[in-house]
Amino acid sequence: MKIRSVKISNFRGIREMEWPILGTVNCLIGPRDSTKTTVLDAIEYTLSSRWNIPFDDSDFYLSEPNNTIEIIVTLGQIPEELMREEKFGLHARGWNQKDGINDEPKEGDEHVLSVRLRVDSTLEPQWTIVNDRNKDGVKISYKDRELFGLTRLGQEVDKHLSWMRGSILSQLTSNRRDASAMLSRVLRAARDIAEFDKIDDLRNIAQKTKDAASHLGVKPSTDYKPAFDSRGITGGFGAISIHDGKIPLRLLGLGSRRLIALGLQMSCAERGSILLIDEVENALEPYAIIHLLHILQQSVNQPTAEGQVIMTSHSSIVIAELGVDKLKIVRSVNGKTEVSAVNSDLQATVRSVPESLLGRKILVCEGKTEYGICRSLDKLWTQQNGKSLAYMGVALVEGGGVPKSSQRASQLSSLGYPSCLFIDSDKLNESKPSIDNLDAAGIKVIHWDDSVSTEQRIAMDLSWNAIKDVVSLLVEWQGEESIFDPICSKLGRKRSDIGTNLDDWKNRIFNENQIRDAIGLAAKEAKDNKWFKRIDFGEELGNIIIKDWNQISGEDLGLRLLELKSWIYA
Amino acid sequence: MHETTPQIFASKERAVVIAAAGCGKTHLIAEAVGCQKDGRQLILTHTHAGVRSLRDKLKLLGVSSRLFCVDTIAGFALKYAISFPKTSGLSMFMPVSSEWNEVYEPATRIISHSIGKHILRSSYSGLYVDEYQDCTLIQHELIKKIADVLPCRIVGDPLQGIFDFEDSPLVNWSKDILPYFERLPDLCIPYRWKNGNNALGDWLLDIRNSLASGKPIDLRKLPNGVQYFSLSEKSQTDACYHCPKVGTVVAIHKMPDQAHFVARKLNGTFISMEEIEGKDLLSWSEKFEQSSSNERSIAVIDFASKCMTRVSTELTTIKKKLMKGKKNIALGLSKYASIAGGLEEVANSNEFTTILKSMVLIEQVPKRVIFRSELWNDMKRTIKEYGTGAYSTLRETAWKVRDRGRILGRKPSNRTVSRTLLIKGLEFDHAIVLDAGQLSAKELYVAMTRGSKSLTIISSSNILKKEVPVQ
Repeated sequence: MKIRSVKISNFRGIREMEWPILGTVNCLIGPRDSTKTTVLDAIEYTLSSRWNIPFDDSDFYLSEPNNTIEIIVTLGQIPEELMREEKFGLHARGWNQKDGINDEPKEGDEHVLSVRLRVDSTLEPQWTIVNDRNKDGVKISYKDRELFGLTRLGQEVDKHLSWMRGSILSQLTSNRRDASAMLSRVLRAARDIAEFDKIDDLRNIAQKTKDAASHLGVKPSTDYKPAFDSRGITGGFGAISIHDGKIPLRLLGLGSRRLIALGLQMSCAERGSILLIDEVENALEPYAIIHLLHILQQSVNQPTAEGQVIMTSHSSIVIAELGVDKLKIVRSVNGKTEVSAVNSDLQATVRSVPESLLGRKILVCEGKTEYGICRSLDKLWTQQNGKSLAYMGVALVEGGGVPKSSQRASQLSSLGYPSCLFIDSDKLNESKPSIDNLDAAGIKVIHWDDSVSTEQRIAMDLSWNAIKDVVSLLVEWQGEESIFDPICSKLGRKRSDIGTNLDDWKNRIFNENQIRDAIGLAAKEAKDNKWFKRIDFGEELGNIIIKDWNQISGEDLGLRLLELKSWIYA
Repeated sequence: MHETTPQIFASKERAVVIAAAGCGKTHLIAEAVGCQKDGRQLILTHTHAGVRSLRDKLKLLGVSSRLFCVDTIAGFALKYAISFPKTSGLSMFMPVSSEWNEVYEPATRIISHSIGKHILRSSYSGLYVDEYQDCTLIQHELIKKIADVLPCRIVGDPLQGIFDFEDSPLVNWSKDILPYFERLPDLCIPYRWKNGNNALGDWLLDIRNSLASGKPIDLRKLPNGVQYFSLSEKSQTDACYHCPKVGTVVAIHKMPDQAHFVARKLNGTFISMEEIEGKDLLSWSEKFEQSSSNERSIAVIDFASKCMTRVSTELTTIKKKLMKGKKNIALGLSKYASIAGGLEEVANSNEFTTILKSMVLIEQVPKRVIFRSELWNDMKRTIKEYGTGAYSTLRETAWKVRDRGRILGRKPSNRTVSRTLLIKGLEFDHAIVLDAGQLSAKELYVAMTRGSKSLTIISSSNILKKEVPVQ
């Protein structure tokens, strides 16, 4: 069975949503409160066989019960039983990849049914099969909905490890008669062997009860005594659960319990069921997640019975592993929930920086230097105002140089994420898309005035003392030769001639700007990540910048970093 | 000669069995359905009477209701066509008489479409069609399309194909049916007459052969239970008056007005059967609706005279006053002042309930006999139901009343005057053919096979010679 489209109106945080095409495997991602779990809830309520779902005012959009809740789920690959004339065959609609839904099926369309759940101010849910020819719809019973075989693995795992009503085990069990008989026998046996009336303390209190009662006029027909109450075995089939030897599975760790429940769900999928999974990665190690995703995709792609999975995730592992064609980004603005697919062009980007899709906004740093600087700035600013980048929902992402970083910024922005691109300005012309295009697309581009790299900018704008700190730091890591040789070469002199004392240089040999330029140029051209082009170096650089903050506040370096700060904290 | 057994019939992909009247055709279908335990069979026939008779037989034989679904071809066609109106092209949502022809082609379109095939395959494992001789070519096309999807077995009697109308020709057995369906052995044991009059049953088999081949029928030598009278108005009414007191009797004529006339003459001892469509009910409803003031009151009187005796004479004075345009008709009347008052109200009010009131008052005309009670009562029902506001016009309400009646069925009274078209498929104890000369070979066969105990034939000649019927 496959869901082909979902339409939601006035359900909790969703005033309206239309999600027209669902693939076989769908992973909903989106920031907190993007209503992705609400989407799963809506699908579950509409297709599950429960009839006693308690609705209250808070389930209506804006808690206003006059906004009638309507959820329409259109399903394909319908079980034959439901296509019968006396069931819903005559109410079928058509669907194909290109047109979506055709109310009357065209030749070649898949035959689909639209199931509608409607709740008005009376709070009574009504399930009907609808189409444009018959807007009132025809009722679909809970027994018929059982045929949809929907399972949901949400917060509560334990119920699925027992035969409680609504559990997966219960769905897989067709004949309950023998189990029922056994439960009755258990009850009787318990009653038979319980001899609570032989316990003095209990018996005495029972006697006291009798006296107290008769005092007020209630006379027992026989005698009061303590005994096993048949209510002691409550929950009927819920009392039967799976044990590993003598140990009930519910005592296993959460990860194991979830995996077991997921495994059960997948055996349902083999009959063409629809699986809903909240936070597929919950409680699982990375390798387990990857394996699970692999098996999950296999189980719904059986040639005999195609099922479907809709899950939510907050994990970058899941995002990277699944590939962009299975991702659906959920976003909620003013009650309108949008579900968008991710273009296959973004595959490489998403594989490299999957965490970028998990933020509310994205800061793309051209290279590792910029990235490292941002990380140390993050620490500073968090100290200053208590809110980190993470708190602000900013995903910090490596751009991978030019033109990749512009591409990434552009692609990520096209998914609806407010994005900022922090780049050097020495290769601005090579940016693809061009800076103007990026601007036009609403992407905030932060780059240095003048055509300089970050290293050059730093070399130009830091205070002299800070420059000296930077060079000392570099020498500490890379050795004097690696650092000073290129600098000297930029100055056209040999190290053996001029030495390595910067103050000395400034006083006697060169003017300050010459030195700064040389340092900047040498840093920019350093090959093989020798100088700053590593994140931890970038972080140290950032620390130095921070120390120098007051000195650079009027310089381009300071101004641009402030611009960055205001974008982050907007 | 051995007949087709239910088991063999049930096993065929495409088969046809011809069955003479009263030879157990319904029984064959019911038993065949009972043989097939897997899946559900769709059983189609032409009339609701046919549906009821099949259902009764299935119940009698203890066939589980999950094994079958019985419906009329028209009802079935409408169901599919109306569910996908754009695809089918259906324009008629509440068809009447010839408008039903506009339903079959849309239905055929749906059955040829993948959605129709899908639904059929999910719902049924086979199709049976009864009374195949009544299928028009258009219906035959529909059945053939269903037969492309499901195994299809049909039964019928070419000699009983009397529903042949110019605008919708019937199937031709040799041209249309036999090339498509395998012909299995005929059913020809006259079961209907086993408990009634065996000799009559056997005689009718011979008559069948004669009629089919155009040979004359000699009424001078008749078996027990069959009598002949020479045609005259008196012999017709006499035959009816002197019919057996026990058992059901049907007197059969050719045209509706002839039947109504005889009913009137018989003073209510025989009730005239209305045709299923209720065309008269519909047209009178329309007449009431479209008339106003005195015209409407006159229509009420005219309607009453169509349904019962004595009204045309007793209410002449009132009618004349109305025709003169008088407003105060009750004034100065010695008799029937209350009826006049009622009719005044009809003229002055827009409400149809006033018509109902007048009808009840008119029933009080002494010694009147209602011989078209079905029409009369249906009109009362129609007016009452119109009052619930469920339908927008009186005619629409009338359609619904007839439709319901068609589906629920009605018990013919013990003594009925009718026409072959209406009584085909029904069984009575005694049959009176009021004028054999007017009937074609097929009509004659249908008429003569209605009574299981006795048959009375009235005709101008005692040798009946009919043209060979088209089959």
